[in-house]
Amino acid sequence: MVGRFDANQLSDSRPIWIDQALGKLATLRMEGRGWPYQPGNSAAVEPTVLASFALAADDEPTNLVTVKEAAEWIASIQRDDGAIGVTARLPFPAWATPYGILLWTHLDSYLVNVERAVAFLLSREGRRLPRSSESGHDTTLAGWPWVSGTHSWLEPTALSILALAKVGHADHARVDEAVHLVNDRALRSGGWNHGNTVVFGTELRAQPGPTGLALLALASVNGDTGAVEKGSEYLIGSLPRIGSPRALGWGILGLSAWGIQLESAPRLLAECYSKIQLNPTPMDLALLILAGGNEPERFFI
Amino acid sequence: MNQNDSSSELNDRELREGDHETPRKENEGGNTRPLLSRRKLLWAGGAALGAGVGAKLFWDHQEGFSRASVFVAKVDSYEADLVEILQVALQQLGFDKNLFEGRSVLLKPNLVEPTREAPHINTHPSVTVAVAEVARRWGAREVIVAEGPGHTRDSYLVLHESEYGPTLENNGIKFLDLNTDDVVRVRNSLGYTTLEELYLPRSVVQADLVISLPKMKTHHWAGVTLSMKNLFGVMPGICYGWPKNVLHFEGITASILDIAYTVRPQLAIVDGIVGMEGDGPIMGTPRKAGYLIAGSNLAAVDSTAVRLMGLEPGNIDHIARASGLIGPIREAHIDQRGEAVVKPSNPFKTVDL
Repeated sequence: MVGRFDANQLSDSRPIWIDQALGKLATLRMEGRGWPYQPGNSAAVEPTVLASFALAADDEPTNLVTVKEAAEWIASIQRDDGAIGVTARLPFPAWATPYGILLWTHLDSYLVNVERAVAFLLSREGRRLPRSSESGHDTTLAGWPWVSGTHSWLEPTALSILALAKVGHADHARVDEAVHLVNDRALRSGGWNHGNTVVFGTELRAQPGPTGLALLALASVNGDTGAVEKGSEYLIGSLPRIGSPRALGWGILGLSAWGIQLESAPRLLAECYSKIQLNPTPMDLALLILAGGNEPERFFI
Repeated sequence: MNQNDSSSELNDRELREGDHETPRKENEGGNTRPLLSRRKLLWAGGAALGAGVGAKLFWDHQEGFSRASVFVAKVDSYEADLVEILQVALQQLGFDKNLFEGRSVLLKPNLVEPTREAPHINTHPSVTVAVAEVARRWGAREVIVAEGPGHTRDSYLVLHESEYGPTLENNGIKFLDLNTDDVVRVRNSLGYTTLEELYLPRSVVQADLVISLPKMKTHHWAGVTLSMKNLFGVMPGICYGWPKNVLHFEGITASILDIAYTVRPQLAIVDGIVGMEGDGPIMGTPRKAGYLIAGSNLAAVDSTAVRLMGLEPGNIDHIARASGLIGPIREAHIDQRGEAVVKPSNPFKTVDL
């Protein structure tokens, strides 16, 4: 039986909490499929891919079997047009498509599936809108939306950049414009949020999760126009105070992608696991495990 | 809401990509203006405004036999005995233990943004916990707090920064992220948007009782955000995005009404002890109003709250259109209990466009 983790049990070898987190992650898997957003719910693509990466980081041979099963499950729910939905029963919307590309590419298999998914991504863009004085960002730029027919937002755009760069499309015109979009959505004070900068003359607040993801995406294409430094500063300042697994996970991943190691990261991750261990979600566990490993960005870049 | 009808369950029918497309109106900056021209809000003095003809017609609508009761409690601070106040409010509205006994209760507060800098953004945790306590004392089988924040995918962060996390934990109340719950496809009961169906979290559909617990705030697009607008947070982000841009493209007013009409919470309790004025729903300033407003009809509750904000319900698009549709908004059709509705001499400030 796995005992309750005590953050004071830190050691120089692989942290004990990672072993416990991996064990817990395994118990949350939906047999033959993947992982849900919330324990007991339907398997979903996003937590499945992140959990698969967490297992892959562990390097255990049995994990590879599980990861391949997850990849197969995602292939089984891919739509005819190449898109990947949220769950098996939610084929729309298709914002999770980049996740499928990332996992299949990591396994260096499902090449046809990758091709179809890439073709779908390149055929879709977020809705361009006329410039407005009420909005601080350039609404004429197109990245990717959460839902077809709507505006482009930070996270689906960042995920798409990662996926397309991973398969060799870093120089594609769509990626180029998407990088412009990501930089445009950076807050003047540093960092990113869901993708709104200034509304009615007031700058909105940054959030660690989107900031980390934006940094990851920009690192994948070496797309820094100055926002990276401020974004990194924001994360370095905010992560020690924020105990959220997703904030820490994406934040540390983003910093690592630019070669920045947060000194307090091992302690923060351990403390975070200690707080959530009784009732974690698969995504929380996966992001903590990834962030606690070496070169975690290698699954995305 | 408790839809046991199996036809409402998600089945193997192929979903159509167009389900979420076809916005009704061009969009600026990712947000959609209401279907009618945005109008300035009338102050209590009744100054004349440029008004869309359609909204005025709705506002003047007779409301038929639509009547509702609303209870207004004067509450000076969050340290007051909120449980006692809420019990009295519900009793005055004609409710007793039967409201909650043996039922599963889902409380939907307004938890928009993760920041400790501005606690006035979110429904105060004391109010939510007090409602939960009343439900428990009156025999609820289960009480959960649920929200689908529109501006962040990290609900743990919202709980942590809003101090809801420790408060709920200390009171043994479970939190559910509606953004990532399993979803159920239900028929759009009203159809003001082009969305034939709405995807709702399974937890909302299966709950015996859903209670909307908004914060009393102005809203730079919708005019105000109260118990009806609060229901945007019910719509799962995995289907509608972050922000829930599908709803903006469909039209904020139309979306508010479709969701309110379909979800049909049985109760609304507005946290107006300290609300927000100015550039709501996030960047406004705290405004002490000193009220809790409760009722079983969301249109009546919201219109009463608007009056207590010093504004005119007929000049808020979604409230005007809710007239007679969701319920009564005219003062003459609302049975006012508790404190009298006294409009403040200095109304809540709004964003002037």
